Amino acid sequence: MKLYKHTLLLFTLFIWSTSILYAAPTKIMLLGDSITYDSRYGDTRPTSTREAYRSHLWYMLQDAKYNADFVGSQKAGSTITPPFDIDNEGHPGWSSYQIAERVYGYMLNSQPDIVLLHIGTNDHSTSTRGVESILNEIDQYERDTNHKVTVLVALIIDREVHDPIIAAFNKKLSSLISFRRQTGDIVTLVDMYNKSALAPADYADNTHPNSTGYKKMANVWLDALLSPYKPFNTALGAFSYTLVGSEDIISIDINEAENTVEFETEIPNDGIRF
Amino acid sequence: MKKIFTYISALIILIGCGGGESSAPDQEMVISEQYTVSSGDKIVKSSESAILRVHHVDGTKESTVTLLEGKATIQY
Repeated sequence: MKLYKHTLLLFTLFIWSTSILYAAPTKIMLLGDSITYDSRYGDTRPTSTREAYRSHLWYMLQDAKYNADFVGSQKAGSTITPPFDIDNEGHPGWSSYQIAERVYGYMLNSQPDIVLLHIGTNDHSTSTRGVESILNEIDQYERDTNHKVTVLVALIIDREVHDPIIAAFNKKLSSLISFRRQTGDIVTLVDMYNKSALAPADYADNTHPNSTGYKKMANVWLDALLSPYKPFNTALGAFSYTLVGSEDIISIDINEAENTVEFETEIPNDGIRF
Repeated sequence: MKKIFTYISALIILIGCGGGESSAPDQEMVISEQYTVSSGDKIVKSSESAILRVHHVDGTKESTVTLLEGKATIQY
Protein backbone atom coordinates (compact mmCIF):
# COMPACT_ATOMS: atom_id res chain seq x y z
CA MET A 1 0.00 0.00 0.00
CA LYS A 2 2.89 2.35 0.90
CA LEU A 3 4.68 1.50 -2.34
CA TYR A 4 1.49 2.24 -4.25
CA LYS A 5 1.21 5.67 -2.58
CA HIS A 6 4.84 6.53 -3.41
CA THR A 7 4.42 5.44 -7.01
CA LEU A 8 1.29 7.55 -7.34
CA LEU A 9 3.06 10.58 -5.85
CA LEU A 10 6.05 10.17 -8.18
CA PHE A 11 3.78 9.80 -11.17
CA THR A 12 1.86 12.98 -10.22
CA LEU A 13 5.12 14.88 -9.79
CA PHE A 14 6.36 13.64 -13.16
CA ILE A 15 3.20 14.80 -14.95
CA TRP A 16 3.32 18.19 -13.18
CA SER A 17 7.00 18.81 -14.02
CA THR A 18 6.64 17.80 -17.67
CA SER A 19 3.63 20.10 -18.04
CA ILE A 20 5.80 22.98 -16.82
CA LEU A 21 8.82 22.05 -18.92
CA TYR A 22 6.81 21.41 -22.07
CA ALA A 23 4.10 24.11 -21.88
CA ALA A 24 2.49 24.41 -25.28
CA PRO A 25 4.01 27.24 -27.32
CA THR A 26 1.83 30.08 -28.59
CA LYS A 27 1.02 29.41 -32.23
CA ILE A 28 1.54 32.57 -34.24
CA MET A 29 0.50 32.90 -37.88
CA LEU A 30 2.35 35.58 -39.86
CA LEU A 31 -0.25 36.33 -42.53
CA GLY A 32 0.25 38.60 -45.51
CA ASP A 33 1.91 39.04 -48.88
CA SER A 34 5.49 39.44 -50.14
CA ILE A 35 6.31 41.74 -47.22
CA THR A 36 5.70 38.76 -44.93
CA TYR A 37 7.26 36.14 -47.19
CA ASP A 38 10.17 38.27 -48.42
CA SER A 39 9.96 38.74 -52.16
CA ARG A 40 10.90 41.73 -54.30
CA TYR A 41 10.21 42.65 -57.90
CA GLY A 42 12.15 40.28 -60.18
CA ASP A 43 13.54 38.43 -57.17
CA THR A 44 15.79 35.47 -58.05
CA ARG A 45 17.02 34.63 -54.56
CA PRO A 46 16.38 31.03 -53.51
CA THR A 47 13.43 30.40 -51.21
CA SER A 48 15.80 29.24 -48.50
CA THR A 49 17.18 32.78 -48.13
CA ARG A 50 13.85 34.61 -47.73
CA GLU A 51 13.22 35.91 -44.22
CA ALA A 52 11.51 39.36 -44.23
CA TYR A 53 10.70 40.46 -40.66
CA ARG A 54 10.09 36.85 -39.62
CA SER A 55 13.64 35.89 -38.63
CA HIS A 56 14.20 39.15 -36.73
CA LEU A 57 10.92 38.68 -34.85
CA TRP A 58 11.83 35.09 -34.04
CA TYR A 59 15.20 36.09 -32.56
CA MET A 60 13.57 38.89 -30.56
CA LEU A 61 10.93 36.52 -29.20
CA GLN A 62 13.63 34.03 -28.23
CA ASP A 63 15.50 36.79 -26.38
CA ALA A 64 12.25 37.74 -24.60
CA LYS A 65 11.79 34.04 -23.58
CA TYR A 66 8.49 34.02 -25.48
CA ASN A 67 7.55 30.44 -26.29
CA ALA A 68 6.40 30.85 -29.90
CA ASP A 69 5.63 28.50 -32.74
CA PHE A 70 5.26 30.17 -36.14
CA VAL A 71 2.66 28.32 -38.19
CA GLY A 72 1.51 28.34 -41.80
CA SER A 73 1.59 26.49 -45.11
CA GLN A 74 4.53 28.48 -46.53
CA LYS A 75 8.15 27.79 -45.65
CA ALA A 76 11.00 30.14 -46.49
CA GLY A 77 14.36 30.86 -44.92
CA SER A 78 15.80 27.40 -44.17
CA THR A 79 19.44 28.43 -44.75
CA ILE A 80 19.29 31.62 -42.69
CA THR A 81 21.56 31.57 -39.64
CA PRO A 82 20.87 31.44 -36.80
CA PRO A 83 18.00 29.18 -37.81
CA PHE A 84 14.44 30.30 -37.09
CA ASP A 85 10.91 28.92 -37.48
CA ILE A 86 10.35 29.31 -41.22
CA ASP A 87 6.60 28.52 -41.25
CA ASN A 88 4.50 31.43 -42.43
CA GLU A 89 1.44 32.43 -44.42
CA GLY A 90 3.02 35.08 -46.63
CA HIS A 91 1.79 34.96 -50.26
CA PRO A 92 3.76 37.21 -52.63
CA GLY A 93 1.61 39.34 -54.90
CA TRP A 94 -1.65 38.50 -53.17
CA SER A 95 -4.32 41.05 -52.40
CA SER A 96 -6.46 41.03 -49.25
CA TYR A 97 -9.30 39.50 -51.27
CA GLN A 98 -7.16 36.52 -52.27
CA ILE A 99 -6.14 35.98 -48.64
CA ALA A 100 -9.81 36.22 -47.59
CA GLU A 101 -10.72 33.37 -49.96
CA ARG A 102 -8.21 31.00 -48.35
CA VAL A 103 -7.81 32.16 -44.76
CA TYR A 104 -10.46 29.87 -43.29
CA GLY A 105 -8.56 26.83 -44.57
CA TYR A 106 -5.25 28.20 -43.29
CA MET A 107 -6.81 28.66 -39.86
CA LEU A 108 -8.19 25.13 -39.82
CA ASN A 109 -4.83 23.64 -40.83
CA SER A 110 -2.63 25.64 -38.44
CA GLN A 111 -4.99 26.53 -35.58
CA PRO A 112 -3.08 29.67 -34.54
CA ASP A 113 -3.62 31.44 -31.22
CA ILE A 114 -2.45 34.76 -32.64
CA VAL A 115 -2.52 36.13 -36.19
CA LEU A 116 -0.25 38.97 -37.29
CA LEU A 117 -1.87 40.46 -40.39
CA HIS A 118 -0.11 42.83 -42.77
CA ILE A 119 -2.13 42.98 -45.99
CA GLY A 120 -3.44 45.48 -48.52
CA THR A 121 -0.34 46.65 -50.39
CA ASN A 122 -1.34 44.70 -53.52
CA ASP A 123 -4.94 45.95 -53.39
CA HIS A 124 -3.90 49.31 -54.88
CA SER A 125 -7.15 50.66 -53.47
CA THR A 126 -8.41 52.60 -50.49
CA SER A 127 -11.14 50.03 -49.83
CA THR A 128 -10.74 47.80 -46.77
CA ARG A 129 -13.43 45.32 -47.80
CA GLY A 130 -10.84 42.58 -48.30
CA VAL A 131 -9.47 42.98 -44.77
CA GLU A 132 -13.01 43.01 -43.44
CA SER A 133 -13.64 39.69 -45.23
CA ILE A 134 -10.46 38.21 -43.72
CA LEU A 135 -11.58 39.20 -40.23
CA ASN A 136 -15.07 37.83 -40.87
CA GLU A 137 -13.58 34.51 -41.97
CA ILE A 138 -11.42 34.35 -38.84
CA ASP A 139 -14.49 35.12 -36.70
CA GLN A 140 -16.35 32.33 -38.46
CA TYR A 141 -13.45 29.94 -37.75
CA GLU A 142 -13.55 30.95 -34.06
CA ARG A 143 -17.28 30.27 -33.87
CA ASP A 144 -17.03 26.94 -35.70
CA THR A 145 -14.11 25.61 -33.66
CA ASN A 146 -14.69 27.40 -30.36
CA HIS A 147 -11.03 28.46 -30.51
CA LYS A 148 -10.30 32.09 -29.58
CA VAL A 149 -7.84 33.87 -31.83
CA THR A 150 -6.21 37.22 -31.14
CA VAL A 151 -5.72 39.17 -34.35
CA LEU A 152 -3.17 41.96 -34.61
CA VAL A 153 -3.88 44.01 -37.73
CA ALA A 154 -1.15 46.29 -39.01
CA LEU A 155 -1.58 49.65 -40.64
CA ILE A 156 0.49 48.73 -43.69
CA ILE A 157 3.86 50.30 -44.40
CA ASP A 158 4.19 53.10 -46.93
CA ARG A 159 6.17 52.72 -50.13
CA GLU A 160 9.60 54.31 -50.39
CA VAL A 161 7.96 57.08 -52.43
CA HIS A 162 4.95 58.13 -50.36
CA ASP A 163 1.75 56.52 -51.61
CA PRO A 164 -1.43 58.50 -50.78
CA ILE A 165 -3.55 55.42 -51.56
CA ILE A 166 -1.84 53.53 -48.71
CA ALA A 167 -2.37 56.51 -46.37
CA ALA A 168 -6.10 56.59 -47.22
CA PHE A 169 -6.35 52.78 -46.93
CA ASN A 170 -4.81 52.94 -43.46
CA LYS A 171 -7.23 55.64 -42.36
CA LYS A 172 -10.17 53.44 -43.35
CA LEU A 173 -8.49 50.41 -41.78
CA SER A 174 -8.15 52.29 -38.50
CA SER A 175 -11.89 53.09 -38.55
CA LEU A 176 -12.74 49.49 -39.43
CA ILE A 177 -10.75 48.10 -36.51
CA SER A 178 -12.24 50.65 -34.09
CA PHE A 179 -15.72 49.68 -35.21
CA ARG A 180 -15.02 45.97 -34.80
CA ARG A 181 -13.53 46.53 -31.35
CA GLN A 182 -16.63 48.48 -30.35
CA THR A 183 -18.72 45.49 -31.30
CA GLY A 184 -16.63 43.10 -29.19
CA ASP A 185 -14.18 41.63 -31.72
CA ILE A 186 -10.82 40.72 -30.13
CA VAL A 187 -8.65 42.59 -32.57
CA THR A 188 -5.84 45.08 -32.07
CA LEU A 189 -4.56 47.73 -34.44
CA VAL A 190 -0.77 47.86 -34.79
CA ASP A 191 0.52 51.15 -36.14
CA MET A 192 3.21 49.70 -38.39
CA TYR A 193 2.79 52.68 -40.74
CA ASN A 194 4.17 55.20 -38.24
CA LYS A 195 5.94 53.16 -35.58
CA SER A 196 8.23 51.29 -37.98
CA ALA A 197 9.53 54.75 -39.02
CA LEU A 198 10.91 53.42 -42.28
CA ALA A 199 13.31 55.81 -44.03
CA PRO A 200 14.18 55.62 -47.76
CA ALA A 201 17.38 53.81 -46.81
CA ASP A 202 15.29 51.01 -45.24
CA TYR A 203 13.84 49.90 -48.59
CA ALA A 204 15.14 47.30 -51.06
CA ASP A 205 12.76 48.63 -53.73
CA ASN A 206 9.80 50.98 -53.76
CA THR A 207 7.58 48.50 -51.89
CA HIS A 208 9.71 46.09 -49.90
CA PRO A 209 11.99 46.86 -46.94
CA ASN A 210 15.57 45.64 -46.77
CA SER A 211 16.94 43.81 -43.75
CA THR A 212 17.19 47.03 -41.68
CA GLY A 213 13.60 47.92 -42.54
CA TYR A 214 12.35 44.43 -41.73
CA LYS A 215 14.12 44.58 -38.37
CA LYS A 216 12.21 47.80 -37.62
CA MET A 217 8.96 46.04 -38.53
CA ALA A 218 9.85 43.12 -36.25
CA ASN A 219 10.34 45.55 -33.37
CA VAL A 220 6.81 46.91 -33.82
CA TRP A 221 5.34 43.39 -33.96
CA LEU A 222 7.31 42.44 -30.84
CA ASP A 223 5.97 45.44 -28.90
CA ALA A 224 2.43 44.53 -29.93
CA LEU A 225 2.88 40.88 -28.98
CA LEU A 226 4.31 41.70 -25.57
CA SER A 227 1.70 44.36 -24.76
CA PRO A 228 -1.34 43.14 -22.84
CA TYR A 229 -4.64 43.26 -24.72
CA LYS A 230 -6.29 46.65 -24.26
CA PRO A 231 -10.07 46.60 -24.30
CA PHE A 232 -11.92 49.24 -26.26
CA ASN A 233 -12.43 52.61 -24.52
CA THR A 234 -16.22 52.72 -24.44
CA ALA A 235 -16.32 56.38 -23.35
CA LEU A 236 -14.47 57.33 -26.52
CA GLY A 237 -16.84 55.27 -28.62
CA ALA A 238 -19.93 56.77 -27.01
CA PHE A 239 -18.84 60.45 -27.05
CA SER A 240 -20.34 61.42 -30.41
CA TYR A 241 -23.65 59.73 -29.58
CA THR A 242 -23.98 61.78 -26.38
CA LEU A 243 -24.09 64.93 -28.54
CA VAL A 244 -26.06 63.97 -31.64
CA GLY A 245 -28.24 61.14 -32.85
CA SER A 246 -26.68 58.41 -34.97
CA GLU A 247 -28.85 59.48 -37.94
CA ASP A 248 -26.94 62.80 -38.11
CA ILE A 249 -23.43 61.33 -37.86
CA ILE A 250 -21.62 61.13 -41.18
CA SER A 251 -18.34 59.54 -40.04
CA ILE A 252 -16.48 58.70 -36.84
CA ASP A 253 -12.72 58.27 -36.56
CA ILE A 254 -11.51 56.96 -33.21
CA ASN A 255 -7.79 56.99 -32.49
CA GLU A 256 -7.32 54.75 -29.48
CA ALA A 257 -3.57 55.31 -29.35
CA GLU A 258 -4.06 59.07 -28.93
CA ASN A 259 -7.33 58.69 -27.02
CA THR A 260 -9.17 60.96 -29.45
CA VAL A 261 -12.38 60.87 -31.41
CA GLU A 262 -13.14 62.96 -34.48
CA PHE A 263 -16.53 62.88 -36.13
CA GLU A 264 -18.44 64.73 -38.80
CA THR A 265 -22.11 65.43 -38.31
CA GLU A 266 -25.06 67.30 -39.70
CA ILE A 267 -26.05 69.92 -37.14
CA PRO A 268 -29.57 68.90 -36.05
CA ASN A 269 -32.42 71.43 -36.07
CA ASP A 270 -32.23 71.91 -32.29
CA GLY A 271 -28.44 72.37 -32.39
CA ILE A 272 -25.66 70.60 -30.52
CA ARG A 273 -25.24 71.20 -26.80
CA PHE A 274 -21.71 70.32 -25.51
CA MET B 1 -35.49 100.77 11.19
CA LYS B 2 -35.11 103.13 8.25
CA LYS B 3 -31.33 102.58 8.32
CA ILE B 4 -31.74 98.79 8.25
CA PHE B 5 -34.13 99.05 5.31
CA THR B 6 -31.63 101.25 3.44
CA TYR B 7 -28.77 98.79 4.09
CA ILE B 8 -30.83 95.81 2.92
CA SER B 9 -31.98 97.66 -0.21
CA ALA B 10 -28.39 98.62 -1.04
CA LEU B 11 -27.25 95.02 -0.51
CA ILE B 12 -29.97 93.68 -2.82
CA ILE B 13 -29.00 96.18 -5.51
CA LEU B 14 -25.30 95.31 -5.16
CA ILE B 15 -25.92 91.55 -5.35
CA GLY B 16 -28.25 92.07 -8.28
CA CYS B 17 -25.64 94.05 -10.23
CA GLY B 18 -22.53 91.99 -9.52
CA GLY B 19 -23.75 88.42 -9.13
CA GLY B 20 -24.28 87.48 -12.78
CA GLU B 21 -21.52 85.92 -14.92
CA SER B 22 -20.93 87.83 -18.11
CA SER B 23 -21.16 85.44 -21.10
CA ALA B 24 -19.27 85.89 -24.36
CA PRO B 25 -21.32 87.07 -27.34
CA ASP B 26 -22.46 84.55 -29.93
CA GLN B 27 -19.81 83.65 -32.47
CA GLU B 28 -20.72 83.21 -36.11
CA MET B 29 -18.57 80.39 -37.46
CA VAL B 30 -16.38 80.75 -40.53
CA ILE B 31 -15.94 77.68 -42.73
CA SER B 32 -12.70 75.72 -42.10
CA GLU B 33 -11.78 77.78 -39.04
CA GLN B 34 -11.24 75.97 -35.74
CA TYR B 35 -13.04 76.99 -32.54
CA THR B 36 -12.83 75.64 -29.01
CA VAL B 37 -16.08 74.87 -27.25
CA SER B 38 -16.61 73.82 -23.63
CA SER B 39 -19.22 71.95 -21.72
CA GLY B 40 -22.50 73.96 -21.85
CA ASP B 41 -21.79 75.73 -25.16
CA LYS B 42 -24.25 75.22 -27.99
CA ILE B 43 -23.91 75.27 -31.77
CA VAL B 44 -26.98 76.07 -33.86
CA LYS B 45 -27.25 76.13 -37.63
CA SER B 46 -28.50 79.18 -39.53
CA SER B 47 -28.76 77.52 -42.93
CA GLU B 48 -30.93 74.59 -43.97
CA SER B 49 -27.98 72.22 -43.77
CA ALA B 50 -24.69 72.62 -41.91
CA ILE B 51 -21.93 70.07 -41.39
CA LEU B 52 -19.59 70.19 -38.44
CA ARG B 53 -16.37 68.35 -37.58
CA VAL B 54 -15.79 67.72 -33.87
CA HIS B 55 -12.43 66.68 -32.42
CA HIS B 56 -12.34 65.56 -28.81
CA VAL B 57 -9.65 64.21 -26.49
CA ASP B 58 -11.07 61.74 -23.97
CA GLY B 59 -11.08 63.03 -20.40
CA THR B 60 -11.11 66.73 -21.33
CA LYS B 61 -14.05 69.18 -21.13
CA GLU B 62 -13.24 71.01 -24.36
CA SER B 63 -13.67 70.06 -28.01
CA THR B 64 -12.36 71.60 -31.21
CA VAL B 65 -15.03 72.25 -33.82
CA THR B 66 -14.77 73.16 -37.50
CA LEU B 67 -17.65 74.14 -39.75
CA LEU B 68 -17.31 72.27 -43.05
CA GLU B 69 -20.49 73.35 -44.86
CA GLY B 70 -23.39 75.77 -44.31
CA LYS B 71 -23.78 78.45 -41.66
CA ALA B 72 -23.74 78.09 -37.86
CA THR B 73 -23.31 80.04 -34.66
CA ILE B 74 -21.68 79.15 -31.36
CA GLN B 75 -23.68 80.25 -28.32
CA TYR B 76 -21.31 80.48 -25.34
